[in-house]
Amino acid sequence: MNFSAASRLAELLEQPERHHAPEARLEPDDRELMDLVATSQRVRQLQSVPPAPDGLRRGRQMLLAEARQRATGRSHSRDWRAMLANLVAMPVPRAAVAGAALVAVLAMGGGWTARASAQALPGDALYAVKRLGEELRLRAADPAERSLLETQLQARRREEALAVLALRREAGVSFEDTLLGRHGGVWQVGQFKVRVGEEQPDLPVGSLLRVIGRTRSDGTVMARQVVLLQAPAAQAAARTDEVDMAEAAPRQVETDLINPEQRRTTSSARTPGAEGSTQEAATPTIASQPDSRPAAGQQTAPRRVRWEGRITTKRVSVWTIGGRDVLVDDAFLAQTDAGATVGARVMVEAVVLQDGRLKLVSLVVLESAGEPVAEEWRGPIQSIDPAVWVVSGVAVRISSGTRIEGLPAVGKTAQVRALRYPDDSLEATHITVEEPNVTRYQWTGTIKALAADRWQVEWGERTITLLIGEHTLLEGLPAVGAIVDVEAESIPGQNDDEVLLARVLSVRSSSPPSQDSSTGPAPEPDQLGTPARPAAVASQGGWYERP
Amino acid sequence: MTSDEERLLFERAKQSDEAALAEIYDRYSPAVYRYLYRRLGDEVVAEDLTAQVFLQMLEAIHSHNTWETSFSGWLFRIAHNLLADHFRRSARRPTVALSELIPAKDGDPVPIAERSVTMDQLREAINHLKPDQVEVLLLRFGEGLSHAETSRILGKSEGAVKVIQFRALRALRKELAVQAPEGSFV
Repeated sequence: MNFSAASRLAELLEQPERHHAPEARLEPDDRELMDLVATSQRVRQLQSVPPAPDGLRRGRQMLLAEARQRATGRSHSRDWRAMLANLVAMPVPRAAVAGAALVAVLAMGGGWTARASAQALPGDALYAVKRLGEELRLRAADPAERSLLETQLQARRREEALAVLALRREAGVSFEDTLLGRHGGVWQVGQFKVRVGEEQPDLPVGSLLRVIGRTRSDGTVMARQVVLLQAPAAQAAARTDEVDMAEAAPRQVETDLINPEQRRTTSSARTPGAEGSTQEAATPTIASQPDSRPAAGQQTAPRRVRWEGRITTKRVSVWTIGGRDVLVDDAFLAQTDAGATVGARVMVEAVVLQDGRLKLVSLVVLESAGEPVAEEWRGPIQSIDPAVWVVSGVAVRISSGTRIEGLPAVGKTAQVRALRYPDDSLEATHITVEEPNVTRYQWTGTIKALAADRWQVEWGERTITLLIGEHTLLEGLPAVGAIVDVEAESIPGQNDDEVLLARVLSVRSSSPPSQDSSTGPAPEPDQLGTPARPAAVASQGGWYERP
Repeated sequence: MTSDEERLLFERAKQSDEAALAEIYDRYSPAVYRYLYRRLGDEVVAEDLTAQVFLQMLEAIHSHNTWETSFSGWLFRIAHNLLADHFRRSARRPTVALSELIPAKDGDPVPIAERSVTMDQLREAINHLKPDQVEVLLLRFGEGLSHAETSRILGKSEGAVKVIQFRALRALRKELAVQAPEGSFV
């Protein structure tokens, strides 16, 4: 070893940025050192990117969570060992597959493996790892999270099965969905065509089924086992997209509806990766769980329904999803998915309240609505409905997220900022109601004529028409010739001061006004200028004039 | 941070002091990540292996199998071992990370595609070096540490680091010469 060469190289490389470039300090004949310096520059070129904040944050959380668990004497490692013990008890080859997956997880580190397996599909090597990770998540979830997680996982099973079918790959799958129709030996279960054979019982359309089987290259699923999870309720039977979830809890016991001899000895307990290691049955087993509906008088859990659909409207407390109105409370709004926008396709779960209304309890976005486009316009408010306003001829939806400033009223001008969704609907994000530029008037005068919706009142030598409506506060008994204290204002957007909106009309008496009061305290003469005698008021239909 | 400070922090971590663990993680995880990323060229795997480094550190703390000379050097060694496991299990093929396709801000004149290939070749070549050579190269030229800092991390003398550095660069040059097409720059 040439130590002097190493030292010489080290000297050249040490803090090069503070001195000349190392090459400049080399002797021309020191070719190897020059090459090594050049090579070191190549290493410096190895770029690194700053770690994603989320990536390192996850690692930090994992570390602290693990430390916490160790401090309490319970660690993930123990969970893994317990899992391993359970898996070892499984029959081969299922245990072998799952065990190998577990070993891989343990050896390679759960984080990376879980990440790498996230996209795995049935039949992939890492699929068992994916299912194992899900199982752990389910175990770790508290009851409130578990319900949502199970819903998400059920949706994921269907997506996986569809993906496998799209790839024309043969693989074991299991999913839960609703029986939509039967065509001989092929059943339409959700989006799947499931081959069940000809000799099968007449399960009612609308039943919630779990299908365990194998995908075929012809785009169908060959059922190995079909489990009846829930028969449709009478009122829900016609709604083929509705699934009663009241008893979609863990199912441990199955009872064969038919052909009990042929029933396989597989357990209905969820087993990660199980589908991939089982063989296809010539005739699927149709099984059902025992009816666990409570007897009369027993405490019943709220009935739950689940369905998929697009969010079509989002009002303050009621959303319309898949054509059904569901109540949404503040607690749900606080934790709802940001992607749950109008137009998004979602899977929702709701409880049926005693009055029959639905209350949303969970929501999973299956397909986002796409990027909405911001729009902005200004114009008169033409109608106001709790859910929809019409502003300048454009209907815009009001949602719980719409921020409204000012006091809305028909006739006022509003500045609207809204999002236009792919379905061309508009949802307001911000509405600013402009206070009209009005002029207020106050005087005392004699009622010249009366009609249901307007009065004519003298003001000096002029006669002013006052529009009467919901905006008017009326005191006293009006009569032609009576003295009235008037508070009125101009009509927004109009410069006509001969016609005003009456705000307060306080009728004093029916006696003719005195000179003082008739001319009245015209508070803002500059607004009206010198009153001119108005043109003779034509007698119109409904007017009562002083004779 | 001095060795004494490191040791103090580590002692607190051994007592399951979450603040100490968090400080260790915050202080060292970016460097560990960069080290892993330079070897992998894959952000996702680098992130996950970074997390694994610290989980193994925790495991080691509780099994009293800990560092002797340099805490940070010990972390880099854990990272190096995890990398070796990763490469062995994944039978890694050369890949080009997406981030490599992003042109450098300083306007590297080398065409992006060509540059990506050479960066990948460089990683491959480094992966063929001895572990101590890789550590010295990445700490010296990746992290920009001095000989003294590198020696402290690795628990070696400065002279030893200089020798390893010399051998590493010579071996790397040889590896690149094997990989590079005839006539290309090495």
